[in-house]
Amino acid sequence: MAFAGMRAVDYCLALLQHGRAWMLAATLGIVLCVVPAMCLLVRPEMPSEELARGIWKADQPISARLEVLGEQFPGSRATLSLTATTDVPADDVELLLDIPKALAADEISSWRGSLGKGEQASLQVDVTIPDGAQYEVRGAAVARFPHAKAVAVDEVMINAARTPRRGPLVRLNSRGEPIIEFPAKTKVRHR
Amino acid sequence: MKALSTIGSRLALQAALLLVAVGFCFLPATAGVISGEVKYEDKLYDCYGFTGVVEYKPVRLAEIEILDDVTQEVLGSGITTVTGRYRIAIPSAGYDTIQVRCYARNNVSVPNAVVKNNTTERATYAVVSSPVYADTNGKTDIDMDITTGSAAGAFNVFDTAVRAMLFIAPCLEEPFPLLTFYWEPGSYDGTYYYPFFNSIHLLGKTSDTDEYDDDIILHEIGHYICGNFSRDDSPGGSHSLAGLYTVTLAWSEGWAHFFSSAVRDEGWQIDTFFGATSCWSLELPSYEPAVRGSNNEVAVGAVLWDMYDSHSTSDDLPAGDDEHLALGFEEIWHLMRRWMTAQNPAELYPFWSGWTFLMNPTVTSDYEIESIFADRRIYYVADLFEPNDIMGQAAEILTTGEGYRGSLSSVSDGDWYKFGVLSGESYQVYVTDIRSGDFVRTSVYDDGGLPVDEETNSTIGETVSILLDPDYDGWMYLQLDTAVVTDTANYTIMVEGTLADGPLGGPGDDDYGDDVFSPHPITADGTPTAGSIELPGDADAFSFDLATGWIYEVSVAPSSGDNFAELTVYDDDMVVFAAAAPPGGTDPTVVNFFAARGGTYYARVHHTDRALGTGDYAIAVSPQGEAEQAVPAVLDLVPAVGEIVYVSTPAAFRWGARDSSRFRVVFERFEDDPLAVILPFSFTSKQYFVPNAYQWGFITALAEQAGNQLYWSVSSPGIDDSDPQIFYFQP
Repeated sequence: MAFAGMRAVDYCLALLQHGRAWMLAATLGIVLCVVPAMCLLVRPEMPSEELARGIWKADQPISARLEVLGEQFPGSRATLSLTATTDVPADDVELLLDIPKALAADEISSWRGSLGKGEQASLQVDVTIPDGAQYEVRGAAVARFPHAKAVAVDEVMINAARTPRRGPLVRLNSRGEPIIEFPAKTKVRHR
Repeated sequence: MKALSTIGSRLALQAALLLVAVGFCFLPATAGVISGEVKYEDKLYDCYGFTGVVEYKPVRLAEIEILDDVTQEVLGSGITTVTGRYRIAIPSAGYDTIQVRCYARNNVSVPNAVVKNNTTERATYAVVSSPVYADTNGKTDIDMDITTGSAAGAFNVFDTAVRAMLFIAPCLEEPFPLLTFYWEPGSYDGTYYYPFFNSIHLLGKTSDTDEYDDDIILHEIGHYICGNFSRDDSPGGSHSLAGLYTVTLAWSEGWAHFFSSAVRDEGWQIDTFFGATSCWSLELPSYEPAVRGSNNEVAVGAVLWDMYDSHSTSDDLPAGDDEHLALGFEEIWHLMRRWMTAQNPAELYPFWSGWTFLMNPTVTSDYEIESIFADRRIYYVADLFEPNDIMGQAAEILTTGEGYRGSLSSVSDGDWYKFGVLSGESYQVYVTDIRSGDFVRTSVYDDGGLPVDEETNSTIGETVSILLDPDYDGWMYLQLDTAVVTDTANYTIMVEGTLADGPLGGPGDDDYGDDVFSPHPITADGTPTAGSIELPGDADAFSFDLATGWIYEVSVAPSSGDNFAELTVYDDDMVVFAAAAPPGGTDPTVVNFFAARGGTYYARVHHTDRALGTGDYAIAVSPQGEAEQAVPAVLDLVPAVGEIVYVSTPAAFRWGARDSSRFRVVFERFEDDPLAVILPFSFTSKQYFVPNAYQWGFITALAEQAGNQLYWSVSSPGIDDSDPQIFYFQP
């Protein structure tokens, strides 16, 4: 901070020494006018934490995490690991893996049992990765209660980073607004 | 926002809605007309997930425009009606090829919302018709159907906003600020509301995509409504349905759950995932016993829901609502809008206060609300140990290892306890089950009033444990208050160790015990017993055995001078059911009541001037005779789960419950058909406390209803619950 301040003073002195007082005045003007204006645009009544505050959808009282353990390349063996934890005691918990057939899973991809509060259960299944194509694996943890069912899910993509699936390309309408437009089924009646 | 309010906003808003509803568009009178209907496919779901049924629904209140197919010039524009129809005039240009475009957007009137793909491209979802060769001087109908394979998901998001805004618009005078949704297939952005930009972000990943999850979308809109028209102090972040969090987060989330249910008039909350669906209920509520206290979002949502719902509301019970209160949305919203906006911080307690002070509740509704809160173990009412606000009023803890449930029931409440200690013994003090408030501070003082220790729970729900090794014989005092001055809390306090026999001559020493846990036994035969309020704040508790079906009178008369005695009577569950103040002059304070069941009852005497008053008195309990209607008929039928049992009601009846099982008994009266309109009984609701033994409950108010048909059911039996039970009599 002190270093930056010294650099600023040096810059100002250099401008004066080179007879460019007008540039110094312009610089100061920009600093004094533009910066406060920009601050006003950021709703000064909002505390900084307000900017970071997101109010999230409630988690179910069960959580799930799906991971791929091991190297991912064509022909390799990898382990799919689905881990679940419950916030409340749950007598009937089921772990499910939805594995593409091409991944040639070795074992039955489900587990069922009970979990105490904070306890963890895991389901691990070895798969063979056949090629370099992308394969999406989805895991779910389902806890059944007398009057409720809690679900947590996770997913991983084998051979690729996550990429959103794309629909139609974004275009601009006649007012220059970006739109993402789909065709509608159309029925016409002339009268 | 305020400008419209100052110019007769409500009329303006209604006028705008009317214009929208008829889909007017002001263009040259010589124009032709393009009209039609826009529908989208909605995927229906229930607790088992998507049903596989898709249903066409109208695209309501969405922007629509007619385009020149070649130039893309907008020839006319308007808004679809609430039935999804549109009618737009366009300039005369002979035959022309046109298209119709409909946006998932309306920022000129209700709902003032738009659905975009993501925060980078910010592209608005739209659908466009095939090119149509039409006579622009004539009339052409162009209908559009949006399928699930195209943009139906985005239009469902938009329509859910329309649904929410139409639901709450009659309660608002201001227009809605622009609400922006972000959703696209494959999005991992999460589902959340971002207050700073009034934006709602919805998941689009394949394992959990939320564009058809109306319950979830409405929940997020609930946050938007609360943040813009009431007050939301939630710190945000992740949270679980069964977790304990700060009361402001639980309030925000509980409100949002409630809003989602209120808009749908449905107590279930459903979230679809790939291959599985979560489903839980505000009515029961689900996830008992974790969902208790105002620190839990489900508990808060359940309280609001139970205040709102009625018998006609869809929930899990065969006969509908299990509480008699059915405020509907407007009264709750009135508090949200007119009261909660000014509260700091916004959480359930000020909502309760608002109800008490603003809504002028009747005795009946006040009690019903109290019962609804108590069902979630939220006690904003004085506990049995009050008044114990100062050291001189400290309630004595008489039993080691037994939990005493206390309530810091208002922001000014503080609770004092004392217990007898012996030199050389060790004592462990536990303050546990801290709920409906974030933090409770426990201060320990010796019998000289000097501080010994002070502990506050460091995390929400954490138990405070204090080890004490006194080096004297005498009293040890505990002071409990909230660590935050604006907070309230419920807690259970317990002391382990060898308690000294009291009284030990401490500051609270008097002739009789102060609370109903240490009563002085008297006989219910009219014999007066002398007592004294020796110190300001003192109270004297008495117990007496009563016979079933008799009417009794408890009276307290001053020994001399004007009467000063306040009298509270407790039933054999130590629940207050009657109270009286001095009538004035020297007349005694009197309570008459009918003992529907025999057992030990309690009375407690206070001075009206608790800060300064002292005095002598005499208390007497006198039988007044056996009541004619006092012979209860035994109801032997116990229904199975979900079964409704029919009986012809006797003058009174009783039901049984064991402490080892948790269930709520629901009494409903019907004239002929259990599915017909329900005629509520007159108010006889009652809390019931079953500490440790087989208990009978009695319904006596049915005396007036003798001969009517009665159905009763058990809503949720068999759930183990180690806590003491509270039952509700709800005839």
